[in-house]
Amino acid sequence: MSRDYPAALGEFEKAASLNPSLPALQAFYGKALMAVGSREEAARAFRAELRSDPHSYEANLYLGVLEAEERRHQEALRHFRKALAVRPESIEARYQLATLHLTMEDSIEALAILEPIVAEAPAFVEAHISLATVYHRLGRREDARRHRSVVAELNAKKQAQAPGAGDELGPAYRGELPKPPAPSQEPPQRDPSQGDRK
Amino acid sequence: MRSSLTFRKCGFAISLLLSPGVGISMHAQNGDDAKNPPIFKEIEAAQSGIVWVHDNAMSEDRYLPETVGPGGAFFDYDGDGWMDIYLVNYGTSDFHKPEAPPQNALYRNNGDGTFRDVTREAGVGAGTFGMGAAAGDYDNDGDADLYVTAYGRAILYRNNGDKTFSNVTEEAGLTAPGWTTSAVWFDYDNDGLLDLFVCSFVEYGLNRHIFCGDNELGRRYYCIPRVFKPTPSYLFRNKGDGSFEEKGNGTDIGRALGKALGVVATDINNDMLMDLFVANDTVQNFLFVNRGNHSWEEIGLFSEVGYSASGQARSGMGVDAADFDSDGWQDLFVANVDQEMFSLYRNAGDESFRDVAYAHGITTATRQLSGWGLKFLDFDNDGDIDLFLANGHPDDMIENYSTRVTYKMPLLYFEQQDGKLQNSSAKAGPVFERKLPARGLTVGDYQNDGRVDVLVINNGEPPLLLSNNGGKENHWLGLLLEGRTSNRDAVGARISWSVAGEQTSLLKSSGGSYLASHDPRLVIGLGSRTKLDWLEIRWPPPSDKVERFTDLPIDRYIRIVEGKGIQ
Repeated sequence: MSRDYPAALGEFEKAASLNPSLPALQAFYGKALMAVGSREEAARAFRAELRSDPHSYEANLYLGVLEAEERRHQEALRHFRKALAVRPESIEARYQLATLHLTMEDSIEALAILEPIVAEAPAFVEAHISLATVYHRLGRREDARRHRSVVAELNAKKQAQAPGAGDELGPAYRGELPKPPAPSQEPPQRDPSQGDRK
Repeated sequence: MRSSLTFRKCGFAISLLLSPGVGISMHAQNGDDAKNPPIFKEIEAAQSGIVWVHDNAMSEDRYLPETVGPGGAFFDYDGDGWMDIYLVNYGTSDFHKPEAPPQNALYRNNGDGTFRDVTREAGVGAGTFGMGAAAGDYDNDGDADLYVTAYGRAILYRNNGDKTFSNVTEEAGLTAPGWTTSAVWFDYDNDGLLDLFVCSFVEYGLNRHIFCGDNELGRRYYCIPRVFKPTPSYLFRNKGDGSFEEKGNGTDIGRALGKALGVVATDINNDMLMDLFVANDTVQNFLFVNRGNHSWEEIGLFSEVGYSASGQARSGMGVDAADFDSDGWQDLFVANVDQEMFSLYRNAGDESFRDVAYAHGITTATRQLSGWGLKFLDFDNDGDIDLFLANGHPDDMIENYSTRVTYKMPLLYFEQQDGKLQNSSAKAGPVFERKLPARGLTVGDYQNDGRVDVLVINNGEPPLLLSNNGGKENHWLGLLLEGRTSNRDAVGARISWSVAGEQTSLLKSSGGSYLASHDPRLVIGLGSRTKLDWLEIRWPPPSDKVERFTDLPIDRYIRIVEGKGIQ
């Protein structure tokens, strides 16, 4: 996956000129816009998607992320819950909901979501970080330390997979949302795009 | 879909049409006229005499160190009471061997707003592939020494007290091999001697180089540091005999593998032991809490300053600390790369922090920016803490990939009003309309007028000296503190004062910003008030002295010596 979002934007625009009502087009267009930092335009695209498909998982999830960034917590909650109504098993949507609860200082709600996530995806490092934070807030220091150790182990494994001297790495973009690892529950393989630009 | 696209295109067209008008409007708003002078005014090289230019050594191979520097310092090298300027350049390295290596520069303040290059006679040209500088009187002899970090070989210059320096790196044991970035002098073990923390960035070298390229463009670009291996930073304990011993090893400082770029020494839990907040690039930030007896605990994750709210390590670069909300606890700031947003961490008083950047408009203002040098300071002497940010993207090719993010970026100035940091860049001066490849930022009152000035140090360009004209109507008191039992620079001192019955305090932190060192004096802004009821200095340990002063002058600098009063 090249994650070349600027190129993708051009392709989405071409697709839209051919068929503006293509299913899910606005959601993917919004995601590409979000990746290049065009948040307002991304939010408009997600809203356009939701007008044609109020149950769009992607549009609800990513619009929720944008609303959370703008501290419109209730709006974000509403969108995450809609995304989860479509895909209740989605670790990505559950994780976004958990971090929103964390931001809202609702540690108990966050805990209830995060514990099953790390059980299902033990290599999801961001989830361990958030869970350690929750435990620490709740005064469960031993649990917090345990998950911090897991974070250190996962990060060390990731670092060990870093490219070596002389490697040539291709372009890609940063700013992706935290992604749970593949269903195999293995730590993510080294992404060749790790050499992307700052 | 179509309407969205049309909107974008129309929006672009409108912005082009409006841009000249917007420029005129901003210029007028910036008040670049005699009646309403801008807060920050650029001082041209022709006026200041600072003609030094940074050579960024940019090569087709895009070696990462090329884009990371430079920094510099405001410090009074000759003890004449005027702030001098040190600027760091890129000299020789394993990948860069110029015939005439560019030199660092020391500019002596002539006391009339101009500077003279005294690099050669002072003997501080270096010639290494320099990064930043940290000034401090490590030998307590009354003059400021200088540590220069570098890719390859750091240097300790001991001030000889006669306007010259000696390179004493080897005998001091401060070689710090590798790639060092920001450094900070502070007394972590409260023995009255300044110790040194040195940020170490990544494992790097010609034989470890990784190429990041764009085949479509047929060019290489600067890699994100994620691809390089992390390193432990250095903590050097001052032994008091002119030499140092590395004491980070075996503690959390030695165990924490980071990619450190920025550091500030402060006291986050008010236990009179100086702590360290370290910004790391692509790995978590570290908050090293000093537990005493050479024991450090890294609490970045638990204190909630290590990662973003969504649990991601960001690209931390510049940092600073100050009690911006005057609640008695040191707050923290970290600048990151574009899209990651900068964080203003409010200290909750229990060794944890909450990011309140959004509530102060910082998130929105910095979303497309990459921040390096930055400083909390009461720039307008109205009695509350403001914030100055210097920005620039590390990748000179970013504009090939992004329609929103630029290589050169504007400065930002946030002025605190009614408890909120407000983006006041538009009225701070025409210079805020310019875009710069900014890296280091140092603050110092080079005119001794009580208004602390700013020096922005640019990658591959001349530095930008900004004269601060803010708060001219406000009163102030400047303090130069000299420890005797405590460290000579009085790092860690707590200053409290009362004005019209209202008490305020501040901690003399050390470091902060990026690759930079600052005017060691403190300026207390009094606003319109013309009298301090009293001022109290709690000298840092090992001193146990608490001294209170009354009948203080205003609108001038005073020197207070521990145990000896105002000199």
